[in-house]
Amino acid sequence: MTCDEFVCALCASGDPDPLALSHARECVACGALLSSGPAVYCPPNLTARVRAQLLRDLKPVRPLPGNGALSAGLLIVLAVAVGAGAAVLGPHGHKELDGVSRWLLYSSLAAAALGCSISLPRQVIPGARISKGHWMAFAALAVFAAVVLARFGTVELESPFRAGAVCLALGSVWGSATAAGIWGVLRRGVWHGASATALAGLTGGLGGLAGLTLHCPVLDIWHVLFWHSSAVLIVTGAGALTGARLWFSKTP
Amino acid sequence: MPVSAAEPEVPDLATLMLAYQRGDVRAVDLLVAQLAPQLYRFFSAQEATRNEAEDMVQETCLRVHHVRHTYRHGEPVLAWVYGIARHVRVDAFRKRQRRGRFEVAVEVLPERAQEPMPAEDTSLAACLKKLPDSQREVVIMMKVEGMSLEEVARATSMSVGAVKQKAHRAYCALRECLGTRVRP
Repeated sequence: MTCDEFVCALCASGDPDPLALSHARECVACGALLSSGPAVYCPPNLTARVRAQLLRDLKPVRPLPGNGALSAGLLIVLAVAVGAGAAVLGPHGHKELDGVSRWLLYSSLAAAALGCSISLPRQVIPGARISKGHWMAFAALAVFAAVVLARFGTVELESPFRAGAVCLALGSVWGSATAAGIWGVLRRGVWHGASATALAGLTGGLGGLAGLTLHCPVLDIWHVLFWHSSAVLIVTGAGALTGARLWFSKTP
Repeated sequence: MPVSAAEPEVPDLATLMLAYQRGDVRAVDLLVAQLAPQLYRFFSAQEATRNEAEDMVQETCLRVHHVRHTYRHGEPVLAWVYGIARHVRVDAFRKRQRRGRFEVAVEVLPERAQEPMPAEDTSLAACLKKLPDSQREVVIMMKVEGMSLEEVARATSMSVGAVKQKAHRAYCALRECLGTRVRP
């Protein structure tokens, strides 16, 4: 019998069996523990109480799939949300972009989506190895902004505020719908605190941004950097607030 | 300490978790018997009263039960359990903070059952209590629960480097605190 097993035996039964008693005679530390009484180390009946609570509702469960499968699921949700939205609304922005801009913008958005999809499943699985994927997403978004600054110009719009507000509303709704799909994939995870829901919001917001990039034909620097990016911020903020609110209401 | 040959084979935690996910009653018994004392020890060392520690053990076990499907075979069980235990500890801290806002300080303190710990107490327990929460939890997980650096990093959502740094700082603080005892 090891020391750990000795403690477990003490806590489980309260009365040490002959094997535990013989171990306590050989081991000074366990002997001292035994003489001080099991309540010092483990309160009496704690294990029995816990056991009774768990057995009340014990049924087989299906484990979550691995991180790779969850990340792939998130990428599929993103692709479907962006593709379906662009198909319905029309890919006017895609037609306006030149080949190099398309390649640079889509690559940076894909890298950001990949980073988020790697990081997010690890946020909702306790004890998962941490990932720096979200930093990759932030870097990719910075590249996206740099490409917009480098490749886009200024466009005279008849009513820039109205055009911007339409894009902001569309991007927010699009992002929220994507975030809902993401939640559907990871709904069985452990959503503790605001960071995981904020990251889910960011991932959904990326869906909104990608959708706007495909749909919006206005290739104006400030329109894209302010109005399109604000949609990402709104969905991320909404995710963080939802998480904080849920956490606050769940904590007694 | 050597394990006697006559002793019945106890499955490892990962095997027990798989059996638990399949709804095996014996696995529940063995898991609770192994984890409850460890969790109690973990919470007791974190400035929690005995009642609070008991509540937190119960809460952790209930949460483990509700999210047992999030354990995947091959992952370290202790890192997964302590990841949940940390959530419980954070929630208990927030609950205490919130409750504290509605409490009114009394003018005369009631008599204490036990004398408060003197400021110059240099026992290991007192020195541990002086550490910041994050350092104390790393020391307890590594040195009391025997978890590896990788497991502690996973349980605390930190990088292995950050865990090493916290452990190093905690050892320095403990050495300094305990050193005062041997000095004349």
